[in-house]
Amino acid sequence: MTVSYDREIRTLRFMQGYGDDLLADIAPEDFCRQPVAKMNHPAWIIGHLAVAADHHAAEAGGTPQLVGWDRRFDFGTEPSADPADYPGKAELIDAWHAANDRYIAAVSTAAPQALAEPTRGPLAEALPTVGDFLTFSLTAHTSLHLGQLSAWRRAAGMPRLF
Amino acid sequence: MSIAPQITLYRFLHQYGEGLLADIDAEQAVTPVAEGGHHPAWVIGHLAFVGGRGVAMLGGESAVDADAWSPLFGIGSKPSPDASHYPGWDELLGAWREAHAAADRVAETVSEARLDEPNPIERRRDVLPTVRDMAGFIFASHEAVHLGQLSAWRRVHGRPPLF
Repeated sequence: MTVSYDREIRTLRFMQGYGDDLLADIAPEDFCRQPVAKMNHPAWIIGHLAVAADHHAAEAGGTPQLVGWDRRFDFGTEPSADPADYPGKAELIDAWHAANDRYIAAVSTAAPQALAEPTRGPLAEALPTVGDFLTFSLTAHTSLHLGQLSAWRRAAGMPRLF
Repeated sequence: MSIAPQITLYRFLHQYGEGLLADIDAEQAVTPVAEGGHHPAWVIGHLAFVGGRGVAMLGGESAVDADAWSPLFGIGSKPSPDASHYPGWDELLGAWREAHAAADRVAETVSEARLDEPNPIERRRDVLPTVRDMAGFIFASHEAVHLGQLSAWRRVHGRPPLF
């Protein structure tokens, strides 16, 4: 027996589409632009979302694919304004989409007993079970960073989407 | 299948939001992220307004006067840098906190039948077909997107990251 995460998966797909819309008219050469010092830029945000999904897919039984990306994109890393530090726009977006696909495939077969296990780490108090953390990572984590991307667009002088 | 995981997330996002808001005062609350962009007063008013709609979908009572707040904080409303355009900062914060408290309360009593009703927002039914889907989206992803904007606002205005 597996637990259905259809609703959360639909939300992730929906938010991925929103992210694609936010990214569509950002020029590749602007991907590392920081309108304000230390602001998260599109390259960091998309790489971070890809790495997070890659980690979560691995935790749910998949195999990590983004080897070596942690040092640039993991929790706590600071964005660099140098494009040479990052993959290009197309590679980042492809990696993000593929990591989401792997995460969704892994979640779709997760066992209920694994989801009831306690969460470890700094979010354990607020998100006590693996299932709670999984709901967060499928929905709110992506949304938080896409909100940053939406604000980046404004700070970079780009128009609102709607 | 309750809506409990989304309520847990909404609670988590409330804590995160309180951290983002802790050092923002009433004057700063109407300073936009950039010209024409969102500012904390709009973000928090919008989240209170939409959070109240989520609560109402579950059969609870929104603390927000929807008719009065819709032009200020509804979808498509534009942030104004004029503080007099908005309820006071403390009132906005109170309404946002009340949306969270009301969601906690109504989640205890909402029936499965209610959660399975069609999403009252027709244009979202293709992706979010039921009340459960729509309210869950409001409490998790929608809240998170706008708190992400607030997080970016902090960077633009020289605040350190929270973690």
